[in-house]
Amino acid sequence: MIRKNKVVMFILVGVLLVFFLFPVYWIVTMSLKTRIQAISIPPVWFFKPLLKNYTKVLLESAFPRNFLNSFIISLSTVFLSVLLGTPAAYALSRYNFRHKRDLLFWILSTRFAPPIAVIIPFFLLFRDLKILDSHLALIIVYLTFNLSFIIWLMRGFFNEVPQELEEAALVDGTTDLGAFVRIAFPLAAPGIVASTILSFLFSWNEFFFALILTRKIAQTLPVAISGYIGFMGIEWENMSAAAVMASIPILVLAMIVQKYLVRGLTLGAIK
Amino acid sequence: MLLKKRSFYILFLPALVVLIGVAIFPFFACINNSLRFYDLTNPAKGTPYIGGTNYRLLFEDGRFWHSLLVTFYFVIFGVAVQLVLGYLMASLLNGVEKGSLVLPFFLIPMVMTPVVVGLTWRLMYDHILGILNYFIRLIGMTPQPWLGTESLALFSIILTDVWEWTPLIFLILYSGMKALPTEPYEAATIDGASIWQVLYRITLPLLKPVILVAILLRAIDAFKWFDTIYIMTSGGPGVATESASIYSYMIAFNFFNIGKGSAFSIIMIILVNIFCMIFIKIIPEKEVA
Repeated sequence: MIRKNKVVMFILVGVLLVFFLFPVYWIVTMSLKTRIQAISIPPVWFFKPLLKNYTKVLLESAFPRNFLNSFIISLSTVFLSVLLGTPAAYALSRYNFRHKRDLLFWILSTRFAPPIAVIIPFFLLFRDLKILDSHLALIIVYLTFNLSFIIWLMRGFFNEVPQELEEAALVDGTTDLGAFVRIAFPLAAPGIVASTILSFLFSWNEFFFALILTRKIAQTLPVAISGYIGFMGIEWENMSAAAVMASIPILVLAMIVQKYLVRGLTLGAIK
Repeated sequence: MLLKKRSFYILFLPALVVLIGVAIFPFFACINNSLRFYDLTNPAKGTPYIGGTNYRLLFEDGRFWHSLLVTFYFVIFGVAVQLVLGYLMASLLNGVEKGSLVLPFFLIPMVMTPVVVGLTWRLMYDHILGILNYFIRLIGMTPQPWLGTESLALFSIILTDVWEWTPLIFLILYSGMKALPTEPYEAATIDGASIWQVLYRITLPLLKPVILVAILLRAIDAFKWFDTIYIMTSGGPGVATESASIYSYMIAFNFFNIGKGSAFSIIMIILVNIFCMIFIKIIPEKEVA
């Protein structure tokens, strides 16, 4: 009886894995097929994998530039968010004042704002400043979700660092800012790295703001890939090669921060 | 208190200034624009104040109400299916020895670039060349135009969302279950409680805080959901999958009606706030602070 139960459970886990992994398997294998194989029905299950689609996308499309755009924009906005957000997170962890809870909720709530409400004013502003379709425009707009995310998440990590060590340092004559830099910061480092990577991940995946703010010069990968759908028609093999290449950095980063992923995606609510 | 007041300001003010800039500025700009005639295709008319006209136009627009209804479907059905499936998965994996070994695989759907998710599913849903219809024919059923008819498109879109986000709910509940105390279950076994009694009287009450967090986060995301819908159907066929986020985007950036789009934004802000306030009342205080 127990034996039988176990078998059923393993089968069910298998079914779940197939459901959640098949689309990934499908897009990856499609990127390694010829066009005929990619769209053939019945599908070709066994074939000689080709890298031709990858070289084609890399050499004959704007993919490398889009990749670079995504990279520059994500890195810059994350850098700014961490630079501003880490001290703020520490400050909010170690200093109490009236209405602190309200302030924290306000910071959190900026993440819940409907993106359309954020983008219309920024679109008009950037149009007047003539910086539409620039890296700078996206870097600024991405601060709207990255900064509050970094502050909120890192505050949680700082809260987990025991205050006694900093207090001891204060007794030894360190200033409070010195205690932050030399003691709390290194101790919270794993959490800080995780928040940074998660923030990069969100920026890399972001589509809505990039769709509205970029056309050509600063176009990011998600926007470029959405554009292929219209233009490439049934060039499924090339589309999927681009899609896979866009996802690889994200999957690598996600595996690095695996332990913190749920915590990040739930804004620290689930540890 | 560890920080001096001056240090607190040094550390916090720069971020606060930027936060106010990126969060407060759009809000007031939206309110202001929502009260104006503001049409980018008609610059000659300027942007005069017209009071609540944009709001009235929205309320008289059937497509607006329809988009709210579609959003409502996504929030209710999407989250409900994810919750039930996520719960079942968590219970299953919780009962399997070394179940945590497969967890990394479930991370993939939720971190994959949403545009790529949308593209992948769009290819799989393709009426003629899609793999899904191949499987459907294989088991002897009629192939379906997954994204081609109104009722089916809504279903297919939600299915994609379920694929993408059930893993998150699953992982939230799984870690919640791992943290459950064992004593109540031992007591229940001794008392001879049924599976359903254990579920309703022990497991669900104990998991309530994590379940609420999961619902809150997923519901807000479903409300804002844009990317995969845009890639798969752009709101079609007709307006069948046109959610509030898609329609407000259309108004502002396809019809270039900034005034009406801003009014829509304000309404969405109000709706999210009402929803959050109700929810924060339900969630126990210690879970959020």
